[in-house]
Amino acid sequence: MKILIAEDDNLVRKTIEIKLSKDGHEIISLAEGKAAIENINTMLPDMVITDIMLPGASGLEIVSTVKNITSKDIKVIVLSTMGQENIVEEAFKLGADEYITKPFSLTELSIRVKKLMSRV
Amino acid sequence: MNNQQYIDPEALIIFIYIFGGLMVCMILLTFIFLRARKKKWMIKKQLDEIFDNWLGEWILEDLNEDTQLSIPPTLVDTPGNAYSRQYAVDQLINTKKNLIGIAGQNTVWLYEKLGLKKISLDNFHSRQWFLKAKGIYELYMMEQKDMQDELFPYTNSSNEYVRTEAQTAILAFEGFEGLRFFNTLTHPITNWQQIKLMEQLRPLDPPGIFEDMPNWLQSSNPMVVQFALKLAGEYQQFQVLDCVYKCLGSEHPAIREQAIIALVRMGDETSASAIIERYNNETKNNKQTILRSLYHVASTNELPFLLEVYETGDGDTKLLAARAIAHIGPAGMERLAAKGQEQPEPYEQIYLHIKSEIAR
Repeated sequence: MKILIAEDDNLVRKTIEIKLSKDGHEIISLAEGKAAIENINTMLPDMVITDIMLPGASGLEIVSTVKNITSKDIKVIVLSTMGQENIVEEAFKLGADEYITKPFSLTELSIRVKKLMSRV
Repeated sequence: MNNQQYIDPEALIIFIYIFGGLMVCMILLTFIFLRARKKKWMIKKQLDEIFDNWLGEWILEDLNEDTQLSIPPTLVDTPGNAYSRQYAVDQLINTKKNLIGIAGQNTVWLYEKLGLKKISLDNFHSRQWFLKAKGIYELYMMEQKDMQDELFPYTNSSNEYVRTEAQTAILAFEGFEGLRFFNTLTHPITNWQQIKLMEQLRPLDPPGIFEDMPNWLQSSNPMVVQFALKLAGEYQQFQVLDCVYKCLGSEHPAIREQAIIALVRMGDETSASAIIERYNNETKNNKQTILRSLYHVASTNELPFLLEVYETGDGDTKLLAARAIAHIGPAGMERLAAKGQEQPEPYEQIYLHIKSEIAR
């Protein structure tokens, strides 16, 4: 499965990338929101994992972009921090499929990815 | 004769030289500054790459005593590597803040294996308060529990930032036991720090009874009393109910306000009448707190008092009283409706406003 990761924290992005690569997924990882949106439109990944706060374009804009694509059912997992509940709610209204709050366990993320992928 | 005065040509030349010299110095300094900044940026970028790749390699591994760690030259403990080693500490802490599970545990393991505690200890032993506070933060984030005795005295440091970091550290190491620093605290705890400490304690299992609470409630430090009242209300410490009642008579309005809130949270059957008794002697802010509290505990017994306040108070007070009256139930709403008919201005408006609030 092709997964796009949009996360501005280098280490977090890198560790997610390593974990999901080990699980056998093809990973595209980006630190910037606008670049993520461009890549989503051109590469049509199977899943997007995005942080809420990103430079360039927010996680909400990414969710909205993904859910406006009608040719493919792309799943979205939103990464948030404590206190961002309202934004997460907004993300769900826009069509996000899952959310995970930082700090999170990579094993938990991996399980949620598998679970969502099984629904594709 | 021409009396006009001219600048001495020699002085003009000297001035031009000095001005030119200054300009050259400024250009040189700007150049040096920009070069240093670029160099620092390049080093940071290189470090980013080296460290991210290196950490990414190890963070998900099953690390134990037998693991042979390959350390990049930039992270080896040498005097020239101080900047990169501090960068490594910052990055490990950032990772630990974002990840739990194996990755989170491995950050601590790597911190210890790389000998980065030395960096944090240097910060902690610094005379500069911001480095000391940073050092304390690093030590508790990296779970260096052996440091708790050395950190403890700083919970009462005269520097606010050092003090708050040390208090957070002691709670991180000891949980509720760490609240023992209240026994010796003579400096203030800001409201923000109080909120942070309460949040830090929230996920932990509380003890049934806080043994030291009677002492805290009688502390000479008003902010310790204030925080103890918050704890008493949050964790239902009925054994100190008498002390909480006594706090209603404190000379500090903030303590009295917290005592009102604590009493209502503890839900004693006499708490409503006790706070009503205080009403006339209270500050405006505390009067409003009493009315907000009565919203939660008032019954028909408190109706006469609330109706009196409703009639005599100012606009804000009337609204708070009306909310408490309405919350009593149908009897309260009937009284609000009757008052609205009897004297439409302003009571009918308030009644309609309360009705719309309830409908929402």
